[in-house]
Amino acid sequence: MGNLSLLDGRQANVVLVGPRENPKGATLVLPAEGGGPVRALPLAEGIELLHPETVIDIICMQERVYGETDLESPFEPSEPS
Amino acid sequence: MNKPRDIDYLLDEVVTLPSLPRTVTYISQLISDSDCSLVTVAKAISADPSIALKTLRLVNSAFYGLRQEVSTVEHAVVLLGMKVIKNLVFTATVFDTFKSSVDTLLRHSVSCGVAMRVLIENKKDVSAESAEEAFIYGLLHDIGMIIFEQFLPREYALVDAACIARKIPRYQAEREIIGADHAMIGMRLAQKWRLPKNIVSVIAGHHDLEQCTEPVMKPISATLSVADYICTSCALPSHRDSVVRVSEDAWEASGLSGKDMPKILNAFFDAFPSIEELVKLAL
Repeated sequence: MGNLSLLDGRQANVVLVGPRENPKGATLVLPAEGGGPVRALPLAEGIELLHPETVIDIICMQERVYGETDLESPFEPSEPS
Repeated sequence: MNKPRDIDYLLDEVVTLPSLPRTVTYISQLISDSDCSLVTVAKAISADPSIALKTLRLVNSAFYGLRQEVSTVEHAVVLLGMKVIKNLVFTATVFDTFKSSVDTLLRHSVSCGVAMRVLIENKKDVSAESAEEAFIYGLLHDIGMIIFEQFLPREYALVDAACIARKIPRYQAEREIIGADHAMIGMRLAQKWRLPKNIVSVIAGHHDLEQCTEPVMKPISATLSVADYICTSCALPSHRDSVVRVSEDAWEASGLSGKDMPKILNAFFDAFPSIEELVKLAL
């Protein structure tokens, strides 16, 4: 999905691989620390590292890609206003 | 460029706030009277065929999820109680107000109502009545926008343009171009309709918590900001160019965290069919 900022100021990535019902459907990829490897965490395990708005954005994106609610892209209403 | 005016000038010289239909005022008075019987309230609702029909359609919608079909107003009043019926009648009336508005704003308002119900139900020790009221907060929060669209179409087109060009929140563009924002006008409308202080202050504070004059309602007003953000993220904005921000003090006052969001959004997505049903009912 792309880059995001963690609450502690670090940058991370989120990868969407499945629907929100799948616990590993959204994975946070955290940067390497102290020369160690990068860490991958399911969203639920890394959720406290994220601002609530970021969590909302991730889940909405996940629903847009894998969900069954036909969520549209932001700023594209069903009918022109 | 228009010179921004203050809200009192707008209300004295430009905008005439609509009155609440007499039937609704009468029903509200009846319900406030502790001696009033359910039969009397049912008769008052039935006397206005338009409100009675819409109330029955609302009662039978997926939003209320009743197991049995309700075919008379009397049955609805007995089943749901006075306060829920008051909100139902009020919702039916507000839907009529939205008829003059664009479909996007109606859909956003209904969505925010549903999101508010989901958010409030997520909190501990919440009564059914609070969840019911939460829907009204969401439904009404942007009602000031309808007033602007109706009375200041030229200025509101400039607001649209400013939102698109500068990617600023709508309330900011409204303050700069019109001199007041939709929360201020919505608050005045709620006061004119003699709505409870709780509703007035929640509407007033949904973009600026300091404007929420009832301290006890600040968490609800803050939660409304979150509902607004969720709906906009779900492509259910008030206007296609909407930029919504939740201030950090609103996040804090709402008591909501990232950990709450998966459960809340699951419930909100599950409620999408009821949003569509309510929107169709309003049109």
